[in-house]
Amino acid sequence: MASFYKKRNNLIFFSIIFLALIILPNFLGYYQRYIIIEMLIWGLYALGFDIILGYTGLLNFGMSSFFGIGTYGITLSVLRLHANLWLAIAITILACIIFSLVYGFLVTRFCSHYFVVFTIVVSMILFFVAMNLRSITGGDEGLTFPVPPLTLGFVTLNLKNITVKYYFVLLICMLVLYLVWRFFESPYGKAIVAVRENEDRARALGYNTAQLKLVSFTLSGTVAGIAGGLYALHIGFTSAPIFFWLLSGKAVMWTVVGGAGTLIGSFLGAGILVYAEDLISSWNADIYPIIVGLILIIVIMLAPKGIMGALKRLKKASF
Amino acid sequence: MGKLILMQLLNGFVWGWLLALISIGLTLIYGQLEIINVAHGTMYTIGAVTTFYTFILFKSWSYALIISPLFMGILALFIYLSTIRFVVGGSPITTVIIAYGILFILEQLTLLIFGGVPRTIPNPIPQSITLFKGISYPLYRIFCAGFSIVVITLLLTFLKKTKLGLWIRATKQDHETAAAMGISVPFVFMFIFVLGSALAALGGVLAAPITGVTFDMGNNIVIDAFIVVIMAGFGSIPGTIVAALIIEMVIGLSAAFVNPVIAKVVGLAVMLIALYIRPQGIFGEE
Repeated sequence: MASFYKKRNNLIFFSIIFLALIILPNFLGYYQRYIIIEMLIWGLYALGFDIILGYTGLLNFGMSSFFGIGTYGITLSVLRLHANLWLAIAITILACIIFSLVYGFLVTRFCSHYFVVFTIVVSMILFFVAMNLRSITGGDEGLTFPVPPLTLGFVTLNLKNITVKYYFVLLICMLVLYLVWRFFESPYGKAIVAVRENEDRARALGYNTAQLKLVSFTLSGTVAGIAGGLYALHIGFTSAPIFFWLLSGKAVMWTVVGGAGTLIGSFLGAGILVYAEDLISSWNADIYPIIVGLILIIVIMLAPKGIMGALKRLKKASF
Repeated sequence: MGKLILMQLLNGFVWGWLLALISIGLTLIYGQLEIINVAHGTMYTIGAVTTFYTFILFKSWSYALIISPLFMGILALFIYLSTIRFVVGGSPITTVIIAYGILFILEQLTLLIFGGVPRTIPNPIPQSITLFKGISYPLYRIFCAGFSIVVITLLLTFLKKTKLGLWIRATKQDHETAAAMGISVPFVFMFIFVLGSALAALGGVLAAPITGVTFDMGNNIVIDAFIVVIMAGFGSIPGTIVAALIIEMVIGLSAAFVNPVIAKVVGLAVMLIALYIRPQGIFGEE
């Protein structure tokens, strides 16, 4: 019964936030909407990281690889294949799934330390490759592409319009969040959490842990890739430094600050810190990475469960 | 073509020893503290940057051989006392995230102080020697390899022959038993963290006249160092030397035929193959 009430409370809570996000843009100016779009996209990206860290217990330090594949998936399919929006999204998702499957097949068999180092190495090599293959990726000058219009049957909407973009991004983020949440509520998703808790025991119970980890890795990579695709559509531009490990570090920071293993914590952490980044960068852009580092160290030492963990503790203490 | 291949192999050999020096620092820290020091490349950069400033100050490169590792050692001591001390023995997720935070802070501080412009340091030993007929090789690079070999030998002797070395080997085997025998384990941890960081800085000193100094030069070498450390099996020093020589010679050789960036991918592939054959590393136990 308790879990029913908990679930109902959560549902009410999320519905309120969702409704607020739907109504809010009517009261906000261009710039605030722009910031909320960024928060949602980065939240989705952090969600991808939360799947692999919070739900599978694997620390993937190369999330920027997937994000980069997503942005280049959209950019290249629009620029080179002249695809429309839906085709470009389909190609991007497919590319992310294939990339994460192959990558995951190679890497998920390693134990935790090797896994961490391997993902760092691969992401840095991808960064150097992207910086050097100028003819394909545009290097650090990047590629600009015309954002294709959003076609729904007979209606054609311009994604450059901030309101259209806002609802488009919101819809996709909420859809992915819902699907991921349902996935981890399912027996298969619970089995993945069992791998995080104790891999040997899960294997002894007859679960194919290698397959579970691979599925989780692929899901995580695909979600981060979708975020990358949305980001490319958002700014209409892609460049190779997107593969740099600063971006992977940001995913770690947002998720850890928000609270790993909670799904919504990624959005919370990304929301707060993207806003903070915006404030700090308008004051002094050079100092931001130092603050990223300090926040990471302080949060992991003082509140390893992040904001969501602190909230839960508060809730428990008050009853 | 044969000349080019020979040159690349020689370069790979020299870089291999330099990389071994840096990777041994990484593997020492991992072997004792079980921390994957992702900030290791930045420590190498700091070594090179302090070399540049030492050169400006004293007009001589050789002072940096002492000053840079000393500076990095003091910095590492500060880092250890302020953060690492509290998380030794924690879960890999905690320790890696801490090291990551340190990486961001150090790298950005280097950028703020040193600036984004690449600088060069004049070659301290500009002569070349003729190895075979028609092939001359810069003497400084041979000095680099020689110096690294000497330092590594000294380090191995130190670990084998001295009392502190014995403490270190004992702590590596079993923290608790070592502590029960009266060894100050926290001191060993601190010493190893400082020593490993100083080794990275020393690598930076040696590399600075060859590669020049940029604020992000460590990112390039840290990939090779990680490949080496994984391939060798975390914590194994002889394995690290062999793996460093193999990886650098393979990368050097393939750079003769393909783009240097693709050569790194070849290095990664070699590591993967080595891992599938020997998952515990070249000289790994178990």
